[in-house]
Order: sequence, then structure tokens, then C-alpha cells
Amino acid sequence: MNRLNDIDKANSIAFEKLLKAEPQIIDLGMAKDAIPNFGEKMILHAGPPITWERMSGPMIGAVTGAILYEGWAETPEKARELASKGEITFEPCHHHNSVGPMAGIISPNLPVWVVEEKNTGWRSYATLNEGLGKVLRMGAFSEEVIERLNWMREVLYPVLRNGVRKYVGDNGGLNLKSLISQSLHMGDELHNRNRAATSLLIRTLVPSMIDAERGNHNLSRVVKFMAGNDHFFLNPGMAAAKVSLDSIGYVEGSSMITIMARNGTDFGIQIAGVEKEWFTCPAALPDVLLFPGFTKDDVNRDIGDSAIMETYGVGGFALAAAPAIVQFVGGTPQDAVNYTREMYEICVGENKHFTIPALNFRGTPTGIDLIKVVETGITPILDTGAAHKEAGKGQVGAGIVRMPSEAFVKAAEAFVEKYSK
Amino acid sequence: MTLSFKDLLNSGPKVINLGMERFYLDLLGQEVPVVKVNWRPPLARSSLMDRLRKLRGE
Repeated sequence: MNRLNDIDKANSIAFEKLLKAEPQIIDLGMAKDAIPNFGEKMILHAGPPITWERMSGPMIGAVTGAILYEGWAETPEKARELASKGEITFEPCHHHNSVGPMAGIISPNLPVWVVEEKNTGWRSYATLNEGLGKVLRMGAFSEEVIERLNWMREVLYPVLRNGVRKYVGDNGGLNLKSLISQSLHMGDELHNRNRAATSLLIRTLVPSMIDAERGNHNLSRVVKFMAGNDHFFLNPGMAAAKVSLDSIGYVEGSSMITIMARNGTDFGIQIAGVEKEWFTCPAALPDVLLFPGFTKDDVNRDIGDSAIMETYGVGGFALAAAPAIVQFVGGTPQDAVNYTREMYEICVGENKHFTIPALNFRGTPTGIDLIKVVETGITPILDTGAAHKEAGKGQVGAGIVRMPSEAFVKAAEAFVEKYSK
Repeated sequence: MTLSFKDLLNSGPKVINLGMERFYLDLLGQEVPVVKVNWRPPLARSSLMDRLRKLRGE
């Protein structure tokens, strides 16, 4: 491994594997049953590994909420005491084939989407999206948050699961690649705008839910909940990205990035040619458009596994497909086009399955090449939400965040070290 | 295209700005014709860049 050709060839292999991936929803299950190696008092979190002592406010808030939800403690104070005593095992979602937006918390009794890659049979998992505002993933843990999670487990989950099972029984797995492709043509970029994808998901699943749950008085409430949350698709979308990137596996000599993730304290990446090693640095401080009443001092460091969408070649990388989102994140439609154009500079190729109408149906920039990032000085941008730095306060804004450079430099050093031998 | 010193005094500068967006925005604010080239320096120090180039056989 000492020639440009070899690295390019390895990256082409990784890129083709990613494009070949066929993610599909096959089921829903409880996290403790569905996710491999889920321990009894285990909580999964977003980003690279982190200890309780180093967790940021929103992560502490979300962990507190999960402990209350699981019934492991009765008050927020007791929940924090339990966590600080080391009685909870914390592991990254990514170590369990899973992903979670913002704090990314998955506790044993949260329902999860089960997404399978059709060619390899590999699976990934993500929770059901709670909506915006005071929600667990933003670090909120008040009574309304826990009540909503209970309702989602007791009412939403069984109705949705039975609908999914009916759909899969009649049609086979629900094709997420096709759904993502269509959504890009309907104004979504699939990270901060999921309105089209959510609508398509509802249109696809609801007939089966009606078939499976005819006469169930909860059906209407469940459909209203799904329809009232524009981000309902984000989580299965992230699971689609995760299982597709996981299907690349280890590729000798490849400098293509397979994971970007943030835990609210650190930002971490992994690359296809250096197996399962995190390269980390402090997470970015998002300079985003803030909701009324908040200031820059309220913003926590960047957080969430949702950067998997950009790693997959959508989200911020597909901003040109979503001119409407610029009203939410700040900027102009031309800025959106410019961001996407800039990301082509650091990618291995263009995704022929995910195309952008505004760019004459050019494929989205896909497969971030670590070497190109280091050489050009262009780090990936994300189109993301921002959480309040204090536990329990929730979301403060949304916008474009550029990933910090140090993790890429560390990864490049390890890559050079490994392949120069 | 070449621009003589005389032309520069008569018609004003035409600027290509590399990197630092602030300079570009300042000139734009003064209605000076300017185009922006989105260039950034490499992320890594030169020793790592040299090793990367060597690895790539350059």
C-alpha cells in the first residue's frame, strides 16, 4: 500500500459497497430484545465513548430521563446519584449497530426500528422520534417527557409494530433507499428537514396499520402523532445510513469515513481502512440560528449521531435539494447550493441513487475522503439542531455546523502510520 | 489578461480573493469588482502532508 492508485482503488471498493446497500425496515422491537449485547442496566448514548463525569448538560439530562423512565430511580437527584456511583453501563450506540439523534439515548425498554441491509443481512437500530421541544434527546426529563415516552411504548409502539409487520408480510421490507431518493426530490435533505420523507413513510405504512389494527381506538391518535412530527422519519433514516455504512466493513487501504458522531463533549470519526478506532477531539460549538429568548451562551457543544446522514451523503451534503430549510437554519438558497458544491471537493464520488434536481440531477456528494479533507482544509458541514447546555432545557436552535479539524488530522496521522510500514 | 499600472490608477483594481472571506466582503462593500476563491490551507502541518504525499507515491 504505497501508491495513489491503491488508496483510490480501496476507496472505490468502499464507495461501491455503500451505493450497493439496500436498507429496509423489517420490524420494530424493544431495545433490550432487538439490539445485540444489550446489558441489564445499560444506556446507549450518541457519539464516541464517554464517562458520566465528562458528559455535557443535555447528555446528563437525557440519561436522567432514561433512568426515571426505566424506573431505576424515583427522582432526578437519585437518578444522577445512581449514574455517578457507576451502577449504569454507558456505551456508544455505534458499538451496538445503533444510532440516536442528539443525546441519542437508548435504554432497555425503549422501542426501536429494526432496519436490515438486504444483501448482507446486517441490521441497525434507532428509537422512535418523540417530536420537537422538550424531548429526551434534547436533554429534557420533566414529567411530560416521561409520560410521552410511556405513551409511545404502550400505544404507539404496538400499533406501529403491527402495521410494519403487516406491511413486511405483504410486501417484504420497506425500501428506505427509494424513500430517501424520492424525498430529496421533494425538498428534504434528510437531517433537519424530513417533512417529505415522513409523509411518504406515513403514506406507505398507514394502509397496513389500518389493516392490522382495524377497530383499535388508538389508531387515530397514533397516526395523528406521526403526522404531527415532521422528524418522524429521521430515526429510521439514520438507521438506514448506519446499516449502509456498516455494510462497507473494513477495507484495507481505504481513507473513506464511515462514522462521524458527537456526544456533546467530543466529536469522533472512524475510517474504513483503520478498523473500529475512534479519532476524537472537542466537539464544535455550534454558531446557529437561535430560537427567540436564547443567546450564544446557552448553546451546548455539538451533539448527536445524526451526523451519520452527512457521512451517508445527505443532510448538509444535500442542502441544495432543500431550499426551504434555509429559512430554519439561516442563509439563502444560493448558500445551500454552495455548501453542497463545497462538499464535492472532499468526497470519493456522487451517489447515482440520490440526486439533486437543482443541480441538474447531479448525485449527492458521498463517501467523505479523509485525505481530501486534510489536503483541502475543507471539513464536513452538518445541518443540525442545537441543545441547551443545561440539563432539562431542550432545543435552542438549528443551523449549519462545520466539524472540527483535529479529529481528521489525528485519523490522517494514524492512516499514514499504518500504511507507511 | 494583463493590467497595466496606468489602468489600475484609471479604472481601479479588479481583485481575486483567496481564503479570508472578510477581505472579500470588505471589497464588496466598497463596490470593488472582486471574485472569491474558496481556498483554505491544508489542515495538517507540513511533515504530515509530506508523509501523505509520499504514501500516495507523489
